[in-house]
Amino acid sequence: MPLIQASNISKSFLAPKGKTVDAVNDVSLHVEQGEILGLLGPNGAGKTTFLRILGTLISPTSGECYLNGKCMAEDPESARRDIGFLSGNTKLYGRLTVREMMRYFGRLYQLDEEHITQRTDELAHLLDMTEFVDRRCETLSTGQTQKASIARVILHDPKLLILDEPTLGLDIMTARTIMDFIDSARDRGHSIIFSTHYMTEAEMLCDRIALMHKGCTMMTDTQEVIYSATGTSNLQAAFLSMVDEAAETSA
Amino acid sequence: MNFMITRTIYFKEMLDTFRDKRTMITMLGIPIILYPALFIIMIQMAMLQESKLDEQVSKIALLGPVSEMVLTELKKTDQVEFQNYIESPEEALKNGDFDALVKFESDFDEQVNQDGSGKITILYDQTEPSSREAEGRLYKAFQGINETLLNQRLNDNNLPETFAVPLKVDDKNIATASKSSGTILGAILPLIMVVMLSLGAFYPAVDITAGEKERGTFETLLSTPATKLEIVTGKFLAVFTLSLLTGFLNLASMSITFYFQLPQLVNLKTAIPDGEQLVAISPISVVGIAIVIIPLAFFISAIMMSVSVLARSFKEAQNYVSPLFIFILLPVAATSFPGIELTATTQFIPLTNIALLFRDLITGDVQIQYFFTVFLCTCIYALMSLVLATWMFQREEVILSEDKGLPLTLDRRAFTPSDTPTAGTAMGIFAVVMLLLFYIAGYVQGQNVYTGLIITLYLLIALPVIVILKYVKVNLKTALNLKRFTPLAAVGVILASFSWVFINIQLGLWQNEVLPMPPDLTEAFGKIFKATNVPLLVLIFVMVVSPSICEELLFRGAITSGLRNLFSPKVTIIIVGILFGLFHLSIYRFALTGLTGIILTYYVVRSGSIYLAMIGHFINNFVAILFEKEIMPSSFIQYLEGINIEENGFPLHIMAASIVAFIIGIVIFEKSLTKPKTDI
Repeated sequence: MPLIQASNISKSFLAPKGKTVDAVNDVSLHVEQGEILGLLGPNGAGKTTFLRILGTLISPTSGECYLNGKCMAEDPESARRDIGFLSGNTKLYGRLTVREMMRYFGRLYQLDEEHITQRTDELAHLLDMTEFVDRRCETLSTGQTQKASIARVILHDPKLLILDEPTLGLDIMTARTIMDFIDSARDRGHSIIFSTHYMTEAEMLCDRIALMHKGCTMMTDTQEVIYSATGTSNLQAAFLSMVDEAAETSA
Repeated sequence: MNFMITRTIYFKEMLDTFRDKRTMITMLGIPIILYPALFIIMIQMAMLQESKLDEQVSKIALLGPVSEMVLTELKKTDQVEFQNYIESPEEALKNGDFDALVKFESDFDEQVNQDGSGKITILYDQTEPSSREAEGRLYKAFQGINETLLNQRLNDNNLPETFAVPLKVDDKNIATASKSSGTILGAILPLIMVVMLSLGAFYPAVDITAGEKERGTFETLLSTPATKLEIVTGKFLAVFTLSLLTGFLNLASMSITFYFQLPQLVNLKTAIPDGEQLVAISPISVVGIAIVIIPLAFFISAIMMSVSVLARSFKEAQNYVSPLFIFILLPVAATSFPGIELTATTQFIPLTNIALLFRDLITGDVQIQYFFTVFLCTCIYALMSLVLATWMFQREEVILSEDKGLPLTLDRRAFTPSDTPTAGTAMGIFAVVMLLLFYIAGYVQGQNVYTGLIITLYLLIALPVIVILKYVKVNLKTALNLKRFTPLAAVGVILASFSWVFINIQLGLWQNEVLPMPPDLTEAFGKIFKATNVPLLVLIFVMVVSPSICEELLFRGAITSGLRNLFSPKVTIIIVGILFGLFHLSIYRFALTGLTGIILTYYVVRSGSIYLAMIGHFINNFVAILFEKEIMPSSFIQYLEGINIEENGFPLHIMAASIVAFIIGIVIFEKSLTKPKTDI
């Protein structure tokens, strides 16, 4: 049984004059235990909306998501206990220190105080944060902030990590830290679904890739299968080829 | 709901806020520093002014034939200096060369000597303290002279002193010192308290909603197992606590300042108007005010939360909340009008009731029943506001919205062409129109009611709608719902609207029993309709055709299409109805016009055509004119007179027929709608 299974997910938003815009249109995919699934697509492809649905931040207009076989819509709060969600929009509280922030989130995940303290120390050591763990988040550098964000995401040891463009706007070194973290998280048995613009990142990390365009998944498979289906040798070429094909079909 | 999570969010928000300097300055800095500082400055200024005035010599110019006798007496007055003649005396007074002028009439001495009244005029400038002081000194001196001369005359004629005083009137003010002082404080304190509570709620509310969105931490919070209800409750409790704390701090600082500083003020005549006394607020009043502050802070916090959650940034939230201050302060400021007191009606008006209760608490003149009702009412309003805030929080398009709300720029180049205005623009248009009505409509209608109405409708309502929509590059055809309709839809609307007039009249009669319209207002309405010198066609153009076009362009055009971008059809219909009710600026007409507004909006939301609402509006006003002008078959008039509608209402069969006809009209209208139609 896959860790997470999304079936026929659609999401429409209300547009002016009562019209609707389909941000996600009938998307189905799954992520296995210990697997990295990459979600690739241009801006406006619906990646963020889809990931927000998986993270139960918003509800789908239709379709269902299952985590460990349980329908997430029935108890989204419980589902979120098993999910770590990181995106460009999940920033940290500037006026709290990293340790206070960890304690805050630990309490929201209802971890006991001792466990929070122990886990914070453990993560501070693991992510090389001991130097700044007692500094306010607003005083941290971009790299330090990103480390603190990762610590926040894995504080409760979630089974699934949802990472929406986690390396967007970061310098090479910080992006590298994130990539290493994703890689090591898989080794520790976490399942990961992450979206990115950067094809090289996906090529390096992902077990499988889902290509999204205009709210739909054009293909979800391993890189080898995608290359052979499109007759290409890299993800960028594969993606462009599929977009062209889709445009021709609709014309 | 998990209270541990709510508690965690609450304490985090409190910690976060206490580390925010801006909020701390507003909350702690203002009350702790402002009142004592204001008081000390006021007292020092008053003392300085008073000692300066006491020492100052008043320069007085004497005009006309100066009476030697009077001058000799006047010269006995301390710190007064006289000059006999100057050129352009009044000019010299205005320039401050003199503090006052004393003008003797030409026959002054003659009148005084022959037992007449010698006339003297003191000219002074009321706005200048030195001139006021000079006038006071002169008046006192003349009173002394007057008394001496009177006694002399009475003696000459062997008359007792009481001869000149046939009536001896004494007045005695029975108001306690606290009540006298309360009348001054009662006018100011509620305003200050509401402003301070609002400011106390404003910064935290904006910071932990819009501010959190802006800093990008909201999505982080939403990704945790906390439910939206737990989040909103934790955040709300923090805003409420901070607002309450601000209220208590202000109250404490104000009471302590009054307690210590008032004794210094009491003897300063320049600081306090004549005849008024000031004493500190009694401890019982302070406790009473502190109790009422609790639901008030709750109410204001919830309103602030509901509004600021709509914004995506601190700056945008300030744009939304600033106009809200006016809506919060107006009902409070209204209580300073003379004659407004806590009554069976005013006790229910939000904020006004609290301000009146504050006043009564300060004067020590409060009735426990009113205290209870106002407390209860405010709790209910507070809960309703909290429900609104919670509802806003549940909406993902509000919480995670990335669309622009109110345009933050007025540069036309920044607007992109669109089919409908945003909800923010629609509300902006409504606010502009309301302001124009407030400032201009009253004046132009006061000059001439019919011309004034035409100007109001076309220039103050329709024109701003079109100009603003054009300015923000909105397609007028789609924004104003200028869409054709089917003949069958028109049949349905005509039948429903015609029968609605009867239902509306009956509802009005019922309302009149609960909330009777003052006779002046009824008469004023009647006068507009019944004016005999105005041709019927003109009356129809002004009162029927023009409102049906202009008001509809605003409400069923711009506002409806704007709000539809943010709300469901049902909610849009209700909000537009309420705004239409408010637009009529009368509590007596609010409910009925609001209901009519709901029906008219329903026609447009369902059919997409504003013309149907125009037809409905036309029928509504047209039938009103027919009734008022009694243009109907004489047999029907006799019938109406026979049943005496105003006393008894419509007979049951007319009401039943109206309701049935209304339903049939709506059914026909619904049947006429061809797909695609908007579901409700």
